[in-house]
Amino acid sequence: MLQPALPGAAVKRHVFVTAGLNDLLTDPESAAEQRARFVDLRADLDAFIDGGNLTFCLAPFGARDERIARLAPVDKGLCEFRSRHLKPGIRVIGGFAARDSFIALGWHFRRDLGGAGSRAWRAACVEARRIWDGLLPPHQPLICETVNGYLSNHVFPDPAA
Amino acid sequence: MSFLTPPRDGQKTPFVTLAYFRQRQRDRLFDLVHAEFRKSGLTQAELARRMGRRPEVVSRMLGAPGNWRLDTVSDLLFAISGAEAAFTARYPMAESAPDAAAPADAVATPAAPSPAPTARDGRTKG
Repeated sequence: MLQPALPGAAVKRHVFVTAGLNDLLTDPESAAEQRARFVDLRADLDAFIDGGNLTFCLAPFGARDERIARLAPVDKGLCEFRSRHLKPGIRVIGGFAARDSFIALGWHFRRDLGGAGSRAWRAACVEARRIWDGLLPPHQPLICETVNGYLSNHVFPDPAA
Repeated sequence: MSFLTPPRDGQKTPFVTLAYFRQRQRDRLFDLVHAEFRKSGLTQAELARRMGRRPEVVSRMLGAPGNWRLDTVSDLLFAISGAEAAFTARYPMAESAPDAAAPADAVATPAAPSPAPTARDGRTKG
């Protein structure tokens, strides 16, 4: 389980990461010229752990600026955590084991994933689901009708926008 | 062990520490603005009108903690609820090294609202 980079910081949500991603997040210098990218991602994930406000898009590939979005097909239970402040953007693909508990299964630079529904996206999702099934059989990732099912302290989309 | 390093005399603070705290500040300001926005009950469309900005611009601002300028934070808070951010310094690394000189991590909170304005201002709340 990823612990906040700041010792003693509050843990109100949980993120579980695979070993490779954990190495980059706990020692960003190991990412060499991309170190700034992974520091930002680490800070973004720590904000998730800290329980801060998060935006969440339920529609696959419908996200604009939201921090988390569901991926297609929805019945696979996969979501992307979107770290976008610095280029190249990073997408962490994973699933929610429970409300406020995200399991990060893989990460990709956004530029490598192509357009919505691309072969690269499909391959990334297939691989993520394969890792999930290997780690947590027979537990299925959370699939909820509302954002509230995935996250506490989230920001509702504004229907009147 | 954390990769974060408190400031030390005669030494350059590592870039990764500075970068982490920058993004942390962005996330905290985002939290602050969103909390005020949720409390206000405003729609994004109304906020856009108050700010004199296009709705899609405001939607993008509120979507994620991008590189907001201080002017943007000020405009958002004030347009939402007449609020302004009030900063105090805190020392988040001091918990792990109480004897070390710890960096300040400004905590922004909305300043308490002023008493309701007089009838000269038509924007009284409640």
